[in-house]
Amino acid sequence: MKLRLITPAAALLLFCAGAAALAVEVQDLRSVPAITGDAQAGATKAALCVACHGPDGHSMVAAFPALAGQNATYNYQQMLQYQSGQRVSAVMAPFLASLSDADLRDIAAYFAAQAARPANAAASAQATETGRKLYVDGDPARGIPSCQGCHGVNGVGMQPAGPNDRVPWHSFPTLAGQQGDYVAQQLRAYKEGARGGTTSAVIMQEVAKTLDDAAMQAVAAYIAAH
Amino acid sequence: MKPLQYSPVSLAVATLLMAANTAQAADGSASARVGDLQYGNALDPGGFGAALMQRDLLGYSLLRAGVSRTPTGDLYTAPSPVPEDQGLGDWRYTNGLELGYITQTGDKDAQFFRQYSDWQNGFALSLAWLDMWKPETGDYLEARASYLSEDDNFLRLRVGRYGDFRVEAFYRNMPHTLTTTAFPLWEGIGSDTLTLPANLTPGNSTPADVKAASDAAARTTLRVTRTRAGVSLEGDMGRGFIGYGALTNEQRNGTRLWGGPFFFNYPFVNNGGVMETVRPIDFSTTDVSAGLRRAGKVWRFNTVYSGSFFRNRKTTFTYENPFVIAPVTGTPAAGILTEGQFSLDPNNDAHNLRVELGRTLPQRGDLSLTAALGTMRQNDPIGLNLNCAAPGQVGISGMPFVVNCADWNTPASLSRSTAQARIDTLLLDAKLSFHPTNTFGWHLELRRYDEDNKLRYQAFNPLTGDYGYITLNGSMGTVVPGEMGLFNPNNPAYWSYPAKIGSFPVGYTDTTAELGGDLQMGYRNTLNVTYTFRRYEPDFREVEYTNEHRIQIALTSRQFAGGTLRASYDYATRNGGDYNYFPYASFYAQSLPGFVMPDTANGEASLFAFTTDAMRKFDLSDRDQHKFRLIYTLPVGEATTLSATAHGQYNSYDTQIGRKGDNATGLTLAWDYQPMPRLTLNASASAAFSKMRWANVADNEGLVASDPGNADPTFGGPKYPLANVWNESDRERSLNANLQFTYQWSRTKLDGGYNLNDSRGRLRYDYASISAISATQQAFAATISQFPDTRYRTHSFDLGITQTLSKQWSARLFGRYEHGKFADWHYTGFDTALAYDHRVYTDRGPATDYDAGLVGLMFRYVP
Amino acid sequence: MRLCFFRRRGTDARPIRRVSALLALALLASHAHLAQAAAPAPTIDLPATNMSGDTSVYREISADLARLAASLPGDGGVAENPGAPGATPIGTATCSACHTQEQLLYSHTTHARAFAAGSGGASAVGSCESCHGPGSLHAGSPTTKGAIISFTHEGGTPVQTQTQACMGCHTGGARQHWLSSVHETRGLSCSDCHNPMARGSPEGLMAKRSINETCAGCHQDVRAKFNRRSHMPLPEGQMSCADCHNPHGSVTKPLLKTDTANGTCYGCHAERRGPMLFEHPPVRENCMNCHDPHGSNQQTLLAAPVPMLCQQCHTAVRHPNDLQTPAGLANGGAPDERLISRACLSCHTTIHGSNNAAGAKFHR
Repeated sequence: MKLRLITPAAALLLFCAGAAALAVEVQDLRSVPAITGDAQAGATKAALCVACHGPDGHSMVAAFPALAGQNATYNYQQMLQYQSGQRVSAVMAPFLASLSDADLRDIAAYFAAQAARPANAAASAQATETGRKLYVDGDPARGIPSCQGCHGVNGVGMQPAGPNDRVPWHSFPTLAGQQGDYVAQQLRAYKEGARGGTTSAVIMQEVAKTLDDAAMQAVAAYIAAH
Repeated sequence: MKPLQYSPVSLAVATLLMAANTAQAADGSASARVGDLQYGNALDPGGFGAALMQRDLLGYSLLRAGVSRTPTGDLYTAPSPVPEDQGLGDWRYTNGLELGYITQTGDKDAQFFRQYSDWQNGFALSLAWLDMWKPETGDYLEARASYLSEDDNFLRLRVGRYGDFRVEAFYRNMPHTLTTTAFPLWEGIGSDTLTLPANLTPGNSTPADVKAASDAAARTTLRVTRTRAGVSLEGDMGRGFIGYGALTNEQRNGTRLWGGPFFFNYPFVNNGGVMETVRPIDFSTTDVSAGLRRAGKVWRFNTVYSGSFFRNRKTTFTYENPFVIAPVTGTPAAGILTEGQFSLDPNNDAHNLRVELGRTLPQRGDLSLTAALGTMRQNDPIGLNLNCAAPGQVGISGMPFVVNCADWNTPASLSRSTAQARIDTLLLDAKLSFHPTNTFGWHLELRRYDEDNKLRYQAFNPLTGDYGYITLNGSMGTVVPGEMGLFNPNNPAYWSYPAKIGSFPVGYTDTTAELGGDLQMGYRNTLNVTYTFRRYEPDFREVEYTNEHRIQIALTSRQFAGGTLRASYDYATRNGGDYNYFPYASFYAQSLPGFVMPDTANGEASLFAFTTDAMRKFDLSDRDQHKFRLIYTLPVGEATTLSATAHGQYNSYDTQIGRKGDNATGLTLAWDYQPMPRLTLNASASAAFSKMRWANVADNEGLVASDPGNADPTFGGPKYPLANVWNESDRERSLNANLQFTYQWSRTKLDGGYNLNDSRGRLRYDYASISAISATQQAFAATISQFPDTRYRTHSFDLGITQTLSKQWSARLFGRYEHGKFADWHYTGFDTALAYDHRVYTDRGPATDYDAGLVGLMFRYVP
Repeated sequence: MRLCFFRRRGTDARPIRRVSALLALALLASHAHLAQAAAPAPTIDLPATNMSGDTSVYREISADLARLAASLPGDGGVAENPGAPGATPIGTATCSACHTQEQLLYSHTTHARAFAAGSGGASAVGSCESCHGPGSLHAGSPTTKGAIISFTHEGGTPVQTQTQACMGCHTGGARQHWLSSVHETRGLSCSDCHNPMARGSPEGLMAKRSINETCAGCHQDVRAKFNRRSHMPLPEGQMSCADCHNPHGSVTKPLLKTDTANGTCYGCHAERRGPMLFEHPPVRENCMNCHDPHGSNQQTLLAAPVPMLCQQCHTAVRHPNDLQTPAGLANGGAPDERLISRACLSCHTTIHGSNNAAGAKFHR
């Protein structure tokens, strides 16, 4: 469902007098159902994916995102976005062009079934301390929210509060085992507005705007270690 | 805490803040004032342009779809998009205009179609608004205006600075159409003097003449328009005090139906006179209020003075009487009665000073004390008994009861010239409440209200030495001998007449004591039990006191079959002191020295029994009351709320005569459906049933003064025999159904609704014997059936399409169709004639059948 | 809208914390714009907005206070949430990073603008935590119910906590008698009727589109009564339930604003107040003896048709106590002025009281 949305920046932060209101088309992901798929079939269909995303979804290259343990619904939605061109990637688009909807679901289910593994387990606690603080508590002084609130402890994702919980936790990505560089890259993409177009993305855009480069690096380092 | 470096200025600020260690109620004192909280009209009852408002399709949150629910379970309303604001220097603003054209069709003059809305064919301003604010300082200005017609419009203005002050001003006109089918006999409608048309002679016209003039009367609309304007200022006075002042004035102009008594026509064919006249309304009411409040951590204080000053520019209303008022003796009248007069509402002043003090106590307790002193005063000139001119006379020529106009048409004929009426009031209230644990709380409230009427007036004419008053503009004394209404201890003809000679100063004391407890059972259920004792002590009424004991049990459950249930049940029993069926003797001539009891047949002096001893007036009688109320709200899924309410009130009065019982039961169901911001649907239905029963006994009018039974008030005795008892009931049922929907595409919105009202009232009577019926109607008792039902039914359909034309413009095409049916036996026969013998009426009554509609096109412009 | 946090029940009166609260928010939100270099703020308790009243003085000294605030701990003016012990405030900017749409809709409401102005305009729209309580526990685990004060259904916050959050500022005034009022004892929260998160109604930040619609959510039967033949202009939008009633509590049953029911009626119908030379007792004592204020199937809001209503009290000799039948109607066999049209009121017209010497029986 396409909706119009005025970016909140202008009306919100009144002291930023220069910000003008932008009208943006936004895809509504708030009510997306959790997808199901055949992980077994997905294993076969994901054969092409492992070249970049690594066996079992543990990516070897820092710039390519790990997919192991990623929320199936999130994965599915991202693949749809690549297919439709909403998320632009010259690399991903051809891979996904020929896949059917059932294929996407199966692939997503396959990766969701894999176990996540820290990309950089060797990082010392001291080195990731700044990132840990940001991840767990955020930084109220700079308006940085805690990542843990939506992405879960150590990035494993959140479970709904109860049967009446309407927040689509299943569509938010897990961060456990994710590549640090990739995380930093995406945060930058959110901040600059290169990545957007969905209700979840708009939230991430606002979050990313609170982060400066150093903060992004710190968080990325922490995520990489977990 | 680290050692701090303080600059002197920051210390000063800190001190200032510490000194002003308070919280301040952050909204307006205006909400504690009666009236003027809602500005809207029939085109836009919300007053906010909701019809043209789109919904924000994104809803409340990016994190989840849909709207949340209130803690009870109701869905909130989906929000509208935030308007884009523009800059003007340091200010931001939004503004807009909705303007269009409305045209009516069908029976647009039907009274119910325009009862409170002054639809006009022509341009209408649905809403104009301006919202300006200065983010840095919190200054703001907000204005809204709407104009349907010169009698139906409003302007609302608010200017202020958050945290500092606010000025509110408003100007509004509210129409009230009382009837569109008035055919008044007189000329001068709207003035304080009604004169007969040229072809009627005052006091000397035949019923046929009057009927002809009534048939020729022009159709008139009677309506009242209220024009209100007010300004108020509220501001922070420093040290945590908020001060408030308001001034409001209302001008009320128009006409409404009135009466005109010149004695009975029903027992005297071609005699007497009963008229439905039209009185002017020309009021000005000025209200002044000032208040001061301060709410702190522990104490909260509030005091309000309100003064209200009512002025009536037309306090005397005179109307010409066309009918011949002739003595039943067949002898000539002493004077022709040409004019009647009313004293209309007198100027009055009222003041009230209220002081409220509240204090939090340990154990989550609270003490609240309220005291209010008030006074209502009126000192207008007392209206005169007669307004005929000297040397005229009134009465039956040659009989003892003739009065001279000169003796009664001046202020010298009154015991005093002005009313000197005054009522002082005192309210005292103390409430103590504690919540010592999370699960238990209790409260105690003591309240006493006293109204002390200081009026003492005796109707005495110093010019003649008569007590009492001239009844019915002199007509009663002109028709029937001895019924002029006067008592005089020095005049044998007058000294046995039980005239009403004084005014009873009505007042009362109302004391209540309430003790209640709340118990939380589990996480989701609360039980409240409250006992209330009320002692009501009226002055100069049939009982000295009534005591009412009431117990109320209420249950609130948040998990009753998945929904929230609030249920309460009341039982109250009222009893009182000895009932004195006629406590007013001291206000009648029989209490004065020199009153001579009339002889009766057996030589015993007695006066006729004014009323029977079995009557119990329902506001004072012994009464048992059961009441229940249920409110149930059930959230279903994410988009639906189902709710139901049920209520009932059952009163039974312990009496043989008078109101015996009244019951009311009702049920409502509602469905609210908001699956997404683009679609909303709500439907509701309600049914209410009521039954009221009463009885009375017709007195035996065959008894004459010489009959011993004439003085016997006993119910079942000769004067009020059981054979004359009659019973009557009024059963009403009212149904209401309502459906409203809106559906929004990206640029188009469709909204519509349907409303049905269907009420029926049914009177049923029965009687012990035919002598219960009014004597003149007894001949028809065998053939007549019961009263026809009263009916009121309206169907109304609304449909509108709103189209966004561009970023700034949108248009709305809408229509309303209303079909109504009405029947009320009071108006039976008026469609053919309004004059019947010596009676002439003005209002034909609302249309029994009407179809009316309107179509409009509105444009909304948001720059 | 000022200084409300000072009276938060249970919190210490520590003015210095409030000063720091005020400034810290300026610091927090205007990070890039504040000219003076702010001292690095400790990441422990970051106070939320404070509402200093004297904005001009504040602006002048904002720099000093900003430095002061930075070095001070304190919980400032946030609502108390017993369900989240140990939670600390995180500031508006942090909340609105995730709650973007909420903040957008909220930014145009009275609270947001007032909070923004209260801090000299140097901050963003007002503090979320003034009403929702300290947010650190919620930010870390949003699925934990009760970690933040939620004002909605199934939010997990007890109603008492919700109302105390609002009453922190809004105590007194029209809410002087809130405690033990009927809505309070029935467990209603402020958010059952109000929704300050968006402006949906012209007055009062109501949960529905107008005051009347909000009351009708529960009181459907009363609202339906207003659709009857005679009613006051509530359905036409000219008045609201709150014109007569104070839903927040009052000393006069049922939730009336004045000392008596009659006092409320006199607010618009001052002509009835008098007092009159000759009073009609049921009129002086209670208008509701004859009238139904919400709606009636009879003319002029009477509770029963005339003359029958009068005959429920009056059984005096001669003309009041006779049974009236349809034969007495205008086109009946024996037309009777006691029954037709205005019935008793055709003659006893000044029934609310008369100021005429001959008005003892309300004829004149």
